[in-house]
Amino acid sequence: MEQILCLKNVTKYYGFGSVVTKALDGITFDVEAGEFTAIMGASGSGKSTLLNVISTIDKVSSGEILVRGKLLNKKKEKELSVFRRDELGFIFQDYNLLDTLTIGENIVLPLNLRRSGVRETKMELRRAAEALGIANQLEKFPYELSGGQRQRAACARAVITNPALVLADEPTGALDSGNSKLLMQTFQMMNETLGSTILMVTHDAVVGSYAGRVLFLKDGKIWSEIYKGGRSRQEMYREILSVTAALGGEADV
Amino acid sequence: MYRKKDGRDGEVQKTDDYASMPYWKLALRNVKRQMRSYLIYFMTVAFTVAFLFAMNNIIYGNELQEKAKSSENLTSLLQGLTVFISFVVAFVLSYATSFMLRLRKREFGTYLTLGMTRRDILKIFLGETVLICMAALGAGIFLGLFVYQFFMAVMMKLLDVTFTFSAYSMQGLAGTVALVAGLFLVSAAGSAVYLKRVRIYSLLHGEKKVERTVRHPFFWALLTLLFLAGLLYSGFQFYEGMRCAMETASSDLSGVVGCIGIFAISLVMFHIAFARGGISFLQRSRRFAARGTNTFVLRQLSASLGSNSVMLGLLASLLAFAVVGANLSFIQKGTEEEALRRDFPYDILYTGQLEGDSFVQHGEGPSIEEAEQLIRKYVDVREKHSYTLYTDGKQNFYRYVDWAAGTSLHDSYMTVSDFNAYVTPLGCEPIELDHEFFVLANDVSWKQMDWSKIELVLNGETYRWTQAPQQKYRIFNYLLCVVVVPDEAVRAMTAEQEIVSYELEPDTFDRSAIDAAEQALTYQVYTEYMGERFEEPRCDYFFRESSKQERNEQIAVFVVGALYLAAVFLLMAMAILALKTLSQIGEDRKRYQILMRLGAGRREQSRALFWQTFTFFLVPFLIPVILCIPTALIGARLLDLCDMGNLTGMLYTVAGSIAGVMTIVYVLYYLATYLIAKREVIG
Repeated sequence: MEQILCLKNVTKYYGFGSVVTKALDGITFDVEAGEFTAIMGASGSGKSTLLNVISTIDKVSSGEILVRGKLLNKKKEKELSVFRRDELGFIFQDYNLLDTLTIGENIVLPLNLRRSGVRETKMELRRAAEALGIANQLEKFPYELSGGQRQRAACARAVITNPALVLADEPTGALDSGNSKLLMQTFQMMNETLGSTILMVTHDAVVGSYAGRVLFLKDGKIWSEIYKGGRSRQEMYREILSVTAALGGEADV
Repeated sequence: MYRKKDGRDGEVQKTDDYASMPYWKLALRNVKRQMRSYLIYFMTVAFTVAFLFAMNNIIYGNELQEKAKSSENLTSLLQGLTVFISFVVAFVLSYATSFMLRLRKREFGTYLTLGMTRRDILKIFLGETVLICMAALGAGIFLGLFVYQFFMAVMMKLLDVTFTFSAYSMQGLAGTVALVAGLFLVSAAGSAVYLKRVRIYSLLHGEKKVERTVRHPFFWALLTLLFLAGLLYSGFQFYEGMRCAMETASSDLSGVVGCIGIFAISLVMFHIAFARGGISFLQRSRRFAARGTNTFVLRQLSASLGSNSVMLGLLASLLAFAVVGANLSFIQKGTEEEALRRDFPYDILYTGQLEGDSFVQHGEGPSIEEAEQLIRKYVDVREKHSYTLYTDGKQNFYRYVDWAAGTSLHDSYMTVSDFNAYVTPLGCEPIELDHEFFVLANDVSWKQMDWSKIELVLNGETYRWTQAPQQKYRIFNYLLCVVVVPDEAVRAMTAEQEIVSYELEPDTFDRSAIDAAEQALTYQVYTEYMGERFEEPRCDYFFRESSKQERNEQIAVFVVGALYLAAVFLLMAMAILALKTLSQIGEDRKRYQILMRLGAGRREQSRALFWQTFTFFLVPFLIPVILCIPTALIGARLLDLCDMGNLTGMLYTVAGSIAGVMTIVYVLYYLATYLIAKREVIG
């Protein structure tokens, strides 16, 4: 399997002088192509910081991050923009859809930034929209859609460029349980059918149970790691709960 | 105690310090922190104060009174203008203040949820605006010291008076401070009303409002084309109307006024329609929209232009008013100078009263000989010219004019020798006539008439019409036309009037002496109408210098007033555009963050922000600044009709200069806005 993401001893400090917070403390792990990985942990454990440094929105204090074998730390601002555009897909808790653009325009924006041709853009839009079940919503504006539909649009935007890695930050945070379940089924479909490699941060044990692998963070370190393997989702869910309980018990059940 | 960076111990500030902090201190702290947001507000108030200060000094200072004859009229005109300007400024400052208020509504909402009263918030906010206004007042008055000298220099130049440093007026200063205080109170009242009524929820969540897209963009796109056609049509009709009015000497300008009305409405509506539908043309082009951030920029623009369309239309009309007003004032200045040279080729011109005038004035003025003695008593005459007008009592020419046919008006003739004697000292070529005549006409309509059908028979000889020579000097002021004929043709005619002109020695030229001579030649006349007697002073001698001074004073007010209006309108328009742009920063910041996450680099984001803000600024500015071109072209054509074609160069220079100055102010305001926006949005 191709190694998509590799973190080596990643550390991140905030603040300076005597008031310094160590948000990430020597994190090391890899993600292989086609993996669906969840990162869980209590508030302040470093989940969002980890996602921010992987997505190059924030810089590491030390350590290395490699995506498809390419080191991110040394890249210049312009190269990082190209990296985000071509190699990453983002899904956020509050959707981050541009309210002035239609759903269709939102989805194809990464392709526009890449200056893809009109024909290719149309084809990719149709593929992503049909896969995510929003093909008949493309002319609408985000405010005309429900939360679940908006998040599916965000998913379509995240996968339209066939990125190496899809990063999801609390994707179900703004959804009710029904829509959360539908979204997780969508994630599974993206992972299994479209072959997307997903790295997702979540609080929710149910959401985490859809992943094939869960990393638990505590005080900026990887505290534990579990794999689904051949187990059912319920079994995975129970194991997440037990690890969370051992961790300090802050997960939503 | 806490440890400072340098290792020394420092006092921990007690929370009581904050509790007992006076509002002015809190306001000062806020102003420091919000400096960037307040920059445009500060610039606008400071520039406005500078102009108000300069104008108040002109109005209340002694300089104008000393240098202008009709200073009372000038002062009252400028006062009226300042009152009008004050209303405009009051509106814009209220808008700017409310912008500052809305920009920070989340902060004020938080204060309210924390238990602060609305009165407390108002105190803090007004404290901040007082501080900014006071700083802007100081900066504005400092700037105004120079603006005043500039206005006075323009004024003195227009009045043909040597410029000297103009003293400042305490009354002008007090007036400015009072005016600014009044304007501040008006805007404070607006803020108080807003803060009293606004709901906490609106303060906290108001900014989450979604900018809805424009409905029926193609309908608006069609309207854009329709009103563009309206603009072109009304411009063309205006020119045609003016041309016809000049050629037919018609005083009915209702058609022209109608065209101006259509133009104004089309201008406002064009901008409203364009703001709502213009972008849809570009959005239709998939190839264009699919490139980089184009879709994003077009959507941003579509939303911001659409929701501000009425404001953009009104701003465009303000700017167009500023452009046309400034152009017209300079055109007027140029044409007046030329008209003066044309109407008064010599320093003094005598034209007596015509026999048969239907509106006879009674009174006895000095005879030509007595008048000459009086003139020579006051001024040194270098050259004297005289010529005679003759009449045969017939209407060979007047009968072709509807209103004159059948009246007691009769044709006037002069000999070609008199004509040559009069015009050759002015640099014109002498004319020879062989059984020919030509018609000298004062107004365009008579110049355009076809006299070739007339065959004059005088003393048994027949004279055919020939084209009048190209000469721009008037040799009479009150007749529609004079027929120039060979000397022998007037033998049997009656000498109707003696006309005399004098040219003065330029070396001993003294304006007060000329005023004294004019005074000495003035006598009282009376007219009787419906049994009532009306008395008035009359002088049969036209003094170029008096007329020049009178015209200069009118022009000075016109030019300075137009510049004042144009400058204030431009500042106000730019300030509103800047504040509108900055008021959307909060939402834009989030949108550009999304773009960044999706892979748009800093350069791409900067380019998108540039096109978004630049186009928003450009929409109400473009047509008004382009208006300089048709204004100059129409002006040039109309000047050609008035035999002032030599002024067209000046016209284009003025139009270019006005467009240039406006563009510089535009670029300054735009750059300030763009840099603030870039720093806030992209970082």
